[in-house]
Amino acid sequence: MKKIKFNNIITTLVIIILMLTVSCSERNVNELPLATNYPTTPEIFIDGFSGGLNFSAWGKVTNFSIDYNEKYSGTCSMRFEVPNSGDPTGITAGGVFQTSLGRDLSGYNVLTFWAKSSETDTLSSIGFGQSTVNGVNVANYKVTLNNLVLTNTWTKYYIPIPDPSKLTQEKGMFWYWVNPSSSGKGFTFWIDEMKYEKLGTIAHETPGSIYSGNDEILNNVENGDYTIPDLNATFNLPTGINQTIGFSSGYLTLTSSNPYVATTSKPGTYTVINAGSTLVTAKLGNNYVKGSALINSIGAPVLPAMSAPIPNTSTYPQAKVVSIYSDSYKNATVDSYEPYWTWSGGGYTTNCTFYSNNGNNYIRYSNLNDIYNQKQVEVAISFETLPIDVSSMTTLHMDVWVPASSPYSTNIPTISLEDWGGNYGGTSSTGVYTRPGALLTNQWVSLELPLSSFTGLISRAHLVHLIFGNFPTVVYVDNIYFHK
Amino acid sequence: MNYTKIKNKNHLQVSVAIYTLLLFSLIGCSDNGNVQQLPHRNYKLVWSDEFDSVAGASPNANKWAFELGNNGGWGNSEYEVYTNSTNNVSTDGTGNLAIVATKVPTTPYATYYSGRITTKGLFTKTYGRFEARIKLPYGPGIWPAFWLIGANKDSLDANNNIIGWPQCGEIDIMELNGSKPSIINGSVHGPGYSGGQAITKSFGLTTGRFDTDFHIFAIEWGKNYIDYYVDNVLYEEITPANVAGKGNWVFNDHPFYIILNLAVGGNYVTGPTDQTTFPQTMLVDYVRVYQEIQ
Repeated sequence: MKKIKFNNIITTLVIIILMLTVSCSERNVNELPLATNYPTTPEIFIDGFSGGLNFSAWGKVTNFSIDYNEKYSGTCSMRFEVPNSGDPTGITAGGVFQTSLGRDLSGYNVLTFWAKSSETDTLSSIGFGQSTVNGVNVANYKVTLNNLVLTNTWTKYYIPIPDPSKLTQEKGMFWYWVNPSSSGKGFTFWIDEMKYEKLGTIAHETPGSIYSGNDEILNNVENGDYTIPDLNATFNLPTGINQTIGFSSGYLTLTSSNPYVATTSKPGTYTVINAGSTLVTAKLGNNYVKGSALINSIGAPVLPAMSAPIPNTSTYPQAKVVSIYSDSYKNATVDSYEPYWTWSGGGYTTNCTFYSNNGNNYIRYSNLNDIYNQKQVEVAISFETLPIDVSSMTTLHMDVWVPASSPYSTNIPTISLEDWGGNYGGTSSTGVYTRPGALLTNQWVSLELPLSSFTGLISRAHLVHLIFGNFPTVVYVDNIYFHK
Repeated sequence: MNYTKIKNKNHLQVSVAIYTLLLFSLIGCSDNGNVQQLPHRNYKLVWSDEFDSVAGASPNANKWAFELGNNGGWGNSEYEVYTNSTNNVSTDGTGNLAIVATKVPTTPYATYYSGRITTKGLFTKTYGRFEARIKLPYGPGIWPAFWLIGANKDSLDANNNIIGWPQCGEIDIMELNGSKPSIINGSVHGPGYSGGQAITKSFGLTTGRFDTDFHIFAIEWGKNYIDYYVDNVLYEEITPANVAGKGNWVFNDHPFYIILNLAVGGNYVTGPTDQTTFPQTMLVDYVRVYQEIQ
C-alpha cells in the first residue's frame, strides 16, 4: 500500500518535472482552442460605462441618467426614475444596455451590482441576455429576476448565469422593466458597481422542469421548429437565501436520441426533420432537467390536397368585401398574420407559414393549440396600424382545413374580433364567436359567420385583431374576408 | 502518526500539495506573507469514527450517545426536536455520517426534527487535536456545530454545588450561521465570557462556501492555549490572556466530550424562513482525536 502511494508521488513528480522542463514543441493547430476575439470585459458600470455599451430606453424615454451625487462608491451611479402611473410621457421605466460587439461572459457566473431606492420598492423585472439586433428582439439567453425589493440602503444584489458556457458572444448586458409601485406612485432607484463576476459563493443551482416535469409522449408531430418555453432555476446566494430566476431555454443543452428525426442545433429548440421517434431531454450545465418529450413524428406536414374554394366574386364583388387574406381580393393593410404575442402565456411558440397550391396562396398555423407547452395559444391577425371599418358588413367568411392527424382536432374553436373604439378614448370591445362543434377534418370547411353572432362586440368600425382560439394544433386558412 | 497525513479520498490532493510545494521551492524561499509557520507538534491518533457503516445505520453506540428532544430550546430558544431516528442521524454508506434537519408541516407552526450526538460518558479527553471533516448545511435559521463541553459539567465542586455551564467550559471548534455560508466561527465560553460575550473569531472563505465541499475543522489544545484551524490554516489562538479581566481560564486539566449537532432556529441564527431549503444535511466524513507526543 505504501509502495503504491510512493509510486504515485514519484509519478506525479516526474510529470511535474517534465511539465517544467519540456521545451515548446510544435503543436497541432487543431488542438488549440478557437480564438473568439470577443472581449471578456466584465464591467458594465463602475464610474461610467465600459466601452462599447449603447442604451435604448423603453417606456418613458428620459427615465435613465447618471447621478454624481448619489453613489455607492467612486464618483457616480446610474439613476432610474420610475414615473407615476399617470405620466403622459410613459408609465414604465425600462431600457436595455447592449454592446455592438458581443462579449464572452463564459468565464463569469453572476451579474452583481449595488442598488438602493428612494423608498422600499420593487423592481418588476431586471436581467440580462436580451438585445435588439436589426430591430428584432434577440432573447435566446435572457435571464429575468422578478420583483427584486430594494430599500434605501445600498445593498449588493446577484443575478446568476444559468450556464455561463453559453454566453460566448452576448450583447445584452443588462435590461430593466420597472412599473410604478402598486399605489401608482413613481420612485427613484440607483445602481452602481455593476459587473459580471466569477463567485464561488453562489451555490446549489437547482433547475426547474420542462413539460411540467412530465415524460410526455407527443404524437403526430410534424416537421418544424419547436421551442421549449422559458423555465426557472433556483440558486443559493452568498447570504444563504434562495433566489429564483427565469431564463430562456437557450441555456439548456438539448439532446435528441435520434438525430435522424430531430436535431437540436438551435438554442432551446428541437427541429423535427423526419418521420420517426426520438426522445428529447435537457440538461442545464451538468444537471439533468426534469421532464422529457418522446416525439413521434409523421414527418412532412400533411397539406390540403386541393385549394380552398375560390370566392364567388360575382356574388361578392370587391365593393361588397373587406378582405383580410385572399388571392381573389385586394387585401386590407395587415400588420402581421402572426404578431409576436406573449399574453397567451409561455412565450411565443406558434408557427405561421405561407403555402401555395398552383398559385393559390394559403396560411398554415401550427403549434396553435400547444401540446408542447400544454397550453392553448391564441394567435391573432393584427391590423392595429390601420384599423378596419366593417360596420357596413354583415358576415365574416373564412375557409379552414384541419388535418385529421392534428392534435386537438376535436377542439371547439372560437374566433374573436377586437375593436379599439377609435384611436383615443374609445371604448374597446371584443366579440367572441364559438363554433357549435369541432371542424371537419381533411376538407375545406367554409365558415359564414354573421357578425351579429360575435357576442360582446360593441362597434366594428375600428377592428384591430382577428383572433383564433382553442383551434386544433395545425390549421390551414384561406379567404378571410368580410362581406355584405 | 503524524496528523498531517489527512485522509485523502483521491490522490489528486496529494499531487496538488506536492505541486504546490514544488512551486514554492521553485520561486525561492521568500518570506511570503501567505505562508504560515505552524507550531510543530507531533500527534498520534487515539480515538476516531470514520462512519464507514452501511447506509442507514445509526452511529456506533459505543462511541456516540443521542441527546433528544427540544430541552426548552437548549438554552438558545432553538426550534428543533432532536430524535434518534435514522431519518435524522445515520451513516450514508459512502463513509459519512448524515445529520439531517427535516421540516414537517404542523399547525400552527412547522416542526423541525434534527440530530445531536455526543461522546459524553463514552469518550472524554484533556488536550490534543480534535478534528472533523464536514460538509455543512446552509440557509437562514440553520446552525450546525462541532464542539466540546467540559466533562465536569454535572459534577460537584468543593462546596457541593453543581459546576454547570459555563464554569465547565465550552470549546466551539466550528459553528456556522446558515445565512453566512462562507463563514464559520471558533469560540470559547467560560465563566465571565459566555453567550454573547464568548471569545470568538470568524474564518471566511473568500471564493467558496462551507456547504459545497468538505472542509477540515480542528483545534489543537494544550495547557494555556487553544489553536483553531480550518483546512490546516491557523486562524485563531485563544489563551488565558484573552479572558484576563473577564473570568478564569477553565481549559486546563479537565477532560471534555464532543458534540455534533444541527440546530434549527435559536438566538445565534434566528428562525428559518420560506427561503430555507429542507431537508438540510450536515455530512461528517470523520471525527478524529489525537494525543500530542513529545
